[in-house]
Amino acid sequence: MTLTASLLNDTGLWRARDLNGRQTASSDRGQSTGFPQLNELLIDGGWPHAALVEVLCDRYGVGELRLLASALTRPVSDAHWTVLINPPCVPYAPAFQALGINVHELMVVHPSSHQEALWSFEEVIASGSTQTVLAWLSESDLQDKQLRRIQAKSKEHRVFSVVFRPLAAEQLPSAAELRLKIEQQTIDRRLVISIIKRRGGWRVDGLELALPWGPTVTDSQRARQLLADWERTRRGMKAVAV
Amino acid sequence: MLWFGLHLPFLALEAFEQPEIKDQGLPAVITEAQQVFCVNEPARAAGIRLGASLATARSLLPELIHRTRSREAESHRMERLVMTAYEFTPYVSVADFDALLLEMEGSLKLFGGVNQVRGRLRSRFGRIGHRVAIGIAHTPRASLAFAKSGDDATWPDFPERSEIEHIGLRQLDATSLDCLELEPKTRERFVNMGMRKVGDIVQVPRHELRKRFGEKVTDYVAQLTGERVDPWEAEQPPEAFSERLHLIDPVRGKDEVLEPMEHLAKVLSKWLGRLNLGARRLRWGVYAFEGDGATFEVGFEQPRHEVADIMAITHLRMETVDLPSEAMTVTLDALRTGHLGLKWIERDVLGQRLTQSTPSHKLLDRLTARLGEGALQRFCILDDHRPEFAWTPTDESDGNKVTATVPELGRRPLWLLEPPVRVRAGHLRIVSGPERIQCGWWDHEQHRDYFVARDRDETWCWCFRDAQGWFVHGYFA
Repeated sequence: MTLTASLLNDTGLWRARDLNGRQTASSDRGQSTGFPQLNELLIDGGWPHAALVEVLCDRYGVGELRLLASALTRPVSDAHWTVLINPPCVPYAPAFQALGINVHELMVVHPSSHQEALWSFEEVIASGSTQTVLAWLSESDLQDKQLRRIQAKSKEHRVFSVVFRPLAAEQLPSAAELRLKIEQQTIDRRLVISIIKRRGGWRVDGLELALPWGPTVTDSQRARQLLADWERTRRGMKAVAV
Repeated sequence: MLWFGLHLPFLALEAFEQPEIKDQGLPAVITEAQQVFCVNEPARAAGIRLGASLATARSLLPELIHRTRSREAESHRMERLVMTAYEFTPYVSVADFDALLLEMEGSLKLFGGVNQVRGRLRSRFGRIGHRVAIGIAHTPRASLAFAKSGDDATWPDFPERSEIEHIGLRQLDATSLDCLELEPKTRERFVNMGMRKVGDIVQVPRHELRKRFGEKVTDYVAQLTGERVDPWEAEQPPEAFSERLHLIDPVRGKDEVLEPMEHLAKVLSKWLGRLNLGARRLRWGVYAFEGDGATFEVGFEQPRHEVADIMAITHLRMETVDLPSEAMTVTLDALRTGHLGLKWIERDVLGQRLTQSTPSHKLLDRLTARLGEGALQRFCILDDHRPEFAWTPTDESDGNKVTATVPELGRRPLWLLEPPVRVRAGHLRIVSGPERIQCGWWDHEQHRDYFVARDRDETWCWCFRDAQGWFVHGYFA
């Protein structure tokens, strides 16, 4: 192999002419995101195996876990734990099981301070017993150098780590290899995201991803009917009371 | 039965564990009530005898090292010696303050015969600083007498029962009365009658013996020869581990206190190893001179018995506890232990012991040690329709397999709000529903109609209406 070829095979290098879409020859390494348009824009052809990823969103329940679903459920080896550090809500075990995550391998860490959160984040990454770590850190205490450490550790130990941050963090510099912003979730189960930062490419705005599944909508007609009936009964009862 | 009597003539001295006495051969004695109770070789060579007064001894040898006998130290030491003896046989009894009894018949094959065992016992006790005289006989009393006499009979490696008795009785005949557990007065009476060896007494008809010396002596002789059974209760290995270490000089700071802690961890590790156990939960205590101090616990996901593992987790845990600035006493208690089954220990090709501790167990230990007990949460699914009861936190790593029915993807939210948050109905736009969940009349009865709704932020939520009103119970993340 010539020097050039070996250099080109090094994923640390990317060619300027591969900007916007076309992937380098050796890049088909990442775990597919489940969204073909997104895969195409990522240099690894999917979620990077060893990197820190930032997801920016102000609310929970906007499809942030469904966006990452393929990374959460990827086939596991010995490193089997899926770790959530300081999540905003309780992960509802039956739903996670339905998603394809073995709940016995799901672990939630509740640190009592930002320092403890960072410490456990690094511990988990370095333990060799996990491939995926999701963390919700305190934005006011978070410093760029801390993210840099986590990015370096994720790379070293080949862990896919995700930090959730508010939309306001978009303007702040970050060492994360990939930064995604969730703009909105439409009623027809489409997620609009922006790629703020990616390896081997520029920013991409307004990317529409079709979420593979969403809340099961059975019979909206009937629900509205029922609610209307309730409302009427309630008014009726009030009227009687008056 | 094949009894090994172990006599430790220098236990009183050895219990003090003064390296300079042993190494440099300095003369030393242990005194009790100002009289010499135990003498080491150099002191004996200088002419100091048992029972001499301390003043006499010091006049013979002004540089004599002397300590007052400590029964506490001796009995503490004895406990450790019993543990050591357990390595050879499960039947260990403490016969006297300085003597042990081991029943070895069942363990002979394992250790390669009588002579091998004798050598091994000697070197094993020698390694921990004790000189031991061993007597072997068919009865416990005779083995103790032989140990005190210091005469070794020649033994075949695997003697038959009849052979054991034969050799034992023959040696007994030639044993001096000085080695028996007789009152000095009784012994003198025997000697005055011209009886100097046990053989002389054994020949006397028992009823004669009883008439002249009484019941006690007659029974003792019968127990020596084996005519009368002589049951000894075997010591049980301590169920719990509880050790304390008093320091001579106080230690300051966390780094210094690690040293005595490691010493205790080593003692613990040996105790665990003997019982084939591993520690699951330990309690450390560090106390200042006045007695106030701090205790903290460390837990292990897997039974652990290796000093390095135990200390690594302990070290982490220590970062979050406040210890007294000066420590005089360090304690260690094993609160919970688990069997080191084959699951945890394997031997590699070279016979080295491998501990199978997976990285995930190590991770769990480290996180728990640093963040505290409640900081980790793991889950288990239960078969219940009520969302609050369909899962439970668990702390077992390999808990039950999922047998519960798993809901259809999209029917249940990934994020659950605990407890549900009350909302105004006007804030929700109902998209789908209702799904009635009515269940649990036996404990927490619920009548709820669940809906999928979007709230004002366009977030998809899972909400319900019950008698109290509207609640958001989760988010479809």
